[in-house]
Amino acid sequence: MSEAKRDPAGGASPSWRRSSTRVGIAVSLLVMAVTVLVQLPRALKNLGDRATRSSSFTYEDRAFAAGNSIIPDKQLLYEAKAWIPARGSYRVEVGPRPVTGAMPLTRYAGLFATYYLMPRRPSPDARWALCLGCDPGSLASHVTTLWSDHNGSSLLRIDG
Amino acid sequence: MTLVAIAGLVALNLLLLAAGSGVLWATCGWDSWLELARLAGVAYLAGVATVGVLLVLELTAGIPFGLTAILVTALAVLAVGIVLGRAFGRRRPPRRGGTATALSGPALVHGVGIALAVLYLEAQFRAARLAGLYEWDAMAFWVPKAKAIYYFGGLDQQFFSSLPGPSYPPLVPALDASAFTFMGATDPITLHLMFWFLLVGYLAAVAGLLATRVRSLALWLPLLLVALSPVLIDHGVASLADLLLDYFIGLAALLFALWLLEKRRWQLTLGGIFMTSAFLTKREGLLLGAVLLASLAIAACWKRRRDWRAVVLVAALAVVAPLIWRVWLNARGISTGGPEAGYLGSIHHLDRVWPCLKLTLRVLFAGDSWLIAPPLFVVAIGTALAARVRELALLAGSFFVLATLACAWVIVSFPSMPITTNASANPIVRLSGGLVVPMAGLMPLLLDAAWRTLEGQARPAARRRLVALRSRPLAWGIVAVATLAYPLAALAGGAPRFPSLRDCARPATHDGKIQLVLATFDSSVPADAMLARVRKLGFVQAQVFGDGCGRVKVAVPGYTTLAGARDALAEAEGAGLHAELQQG
Repeated sequence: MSEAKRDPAGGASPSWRRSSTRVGIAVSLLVMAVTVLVQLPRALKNLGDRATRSSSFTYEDRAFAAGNSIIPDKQLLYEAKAWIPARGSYRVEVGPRPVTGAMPLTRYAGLFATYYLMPRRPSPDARWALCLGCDPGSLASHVTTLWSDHNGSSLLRIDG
Repeated sequence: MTLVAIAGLVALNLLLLAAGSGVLWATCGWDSWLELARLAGVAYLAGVATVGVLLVLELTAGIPFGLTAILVTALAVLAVGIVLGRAFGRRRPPRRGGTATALSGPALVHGVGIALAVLYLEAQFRAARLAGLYEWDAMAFWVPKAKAIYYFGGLDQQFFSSLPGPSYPPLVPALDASAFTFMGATDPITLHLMFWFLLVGYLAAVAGLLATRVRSLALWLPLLLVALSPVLIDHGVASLADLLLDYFIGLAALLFALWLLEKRRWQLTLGGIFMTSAFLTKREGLLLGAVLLASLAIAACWKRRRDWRAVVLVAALAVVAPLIWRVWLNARGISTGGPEAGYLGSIHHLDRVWPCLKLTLRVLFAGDSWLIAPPLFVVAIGTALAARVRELALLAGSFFVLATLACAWVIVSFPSMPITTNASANPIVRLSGGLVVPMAGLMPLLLDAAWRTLEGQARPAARRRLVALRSRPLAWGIVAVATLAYPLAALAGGAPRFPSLRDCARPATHDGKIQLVLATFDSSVPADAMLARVRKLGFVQAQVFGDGCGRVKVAVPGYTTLAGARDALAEAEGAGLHAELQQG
């Protein structure tokens, strides 16, 4: 910039500053206005679709949500809720046997059970066991199968 | 999922608003009831921040959590606020009138801005109301911690040491647990609405603080731009702590910026309160808060070197509460968290620095997470610099640069974290919210401050005010139409549903698919026993079904007429069974 265009304080000239300020404000507001006008209908459609999808779910699917991709058979957790007292404790045993409907995230079954079964507490030596492909015989000598879907998911009570 | 749960949430949020009004009264007061309405968003989030911090301190002190604790805490905040307000000489405004400050700019633009925000928030509400808990971190530890507080009345040692993220402060779990208490159940679906209230609070707070200070266009466009970003659309009501942290940082940044311009003590005080709550919301709050305080110190000391003392005082006070939490963690032998590579371990991973910085810049500038908010923020800083609004530009610029580096540092210091925008493997998108969400408040200030330097060519203020007065009824009309339009359009598709266990047992009222339900159980074991019994009684077609709500029923399906089903019902009752007819 030439000396003539500088102001006495040493910065750019007032007219240059004013022009850049005006352009900066105008461009910002214009781009924002266009973006907002394009994005708002998209947002409303996206959120509306999500509401419709959530509304179409069954009570069970909505209550399980993330658990649908973790737990192979929801009935296992319902059985656990019905059998294990609120102050009881349980353990989740994920074993090597095949489980029908198992997913890559099934290894997080313990995490989901903690969320879903609270106030019941997870405990490594609990009397109740949620078994996903586990070997009941390896847990204790006396194990009662309280419920099983015969596909690898079962609720066990360890008696001794 | 019920109206009762929603009513409970409304009550809790009104309580938080009342508590926050006490904070606002003590810190700055208000000249009219309209001014309080304008600042309701600030009051509400001040309530969330203050009550949240106090609940965390109570939990660490071992005070039992419950309805009494929540009520006493919130009402104590309100009472202390009133007493302090009186001590500071605040005067109750007249019932009508008062010195209401006129909104800046045409009321019509404010009307359109409010209308668009209301439309968007209504759509968010509708999406939130029946949303399942799909967010991984929410399922893995935020909601379980809240449930633990709700069920056990405190910070249960087992859950708070074994769940993932044990060092995260429990402000959000305490708020979630308060929501459960007011809803009367651990309802993770309706819980999304709590986060909807927080989103409303943030947008209202920014709009309320700036409505009298900046031109309406400069206010609403940046605010809507950030609100409509894909991250906020997708996660605006997620039961996570990230956005609440961003709101606290955003409000602290805005209040600090206002303090730079106006030097009112209440702005620094309220900013400090939001800063404290940010520290207690997530570990990242400490990093973002430190970045914000450093930026404030740079900007404040630019002209007046003495101002650093005020900044240090705010920082010192804000850091007390998180220190107490750290002491609690240490006392129980729980890891205080921190980066995987250690705080200084990043120097051993210098090869990750550039890729992580590139990743952060890509998230900020690619447009698929935050639209064009970050590039326009840079333009706004440049415009402010061109207009010689240096203090503000320095605050915003330092915050942008330091926060970008801080986000990159977080990724560098977790060497096992892959460098990707995939949210399940790398938190960079959520982390960047702490940088972008505050732009909703800083960008209007930057643009308006630059605009003011052109004031000589603007319309005279008196004429602007006249325009505002004339267009006010039209503005209110636009807001009213927008408020009603979305619910009416949604209602045209049918009345809202409130799913409950009863939905899975709809009584038969007309011909069609009808079942004779002989018994319902929580477990299939007694159901199997019952099945054997009813088959012996002659109901050989009976089967065991899941009812879709987690229960098991023994039923005879296949009836098509109500009359035929009623005959079977009479037969079942004759056999001593408590049966009923259900549609389906």
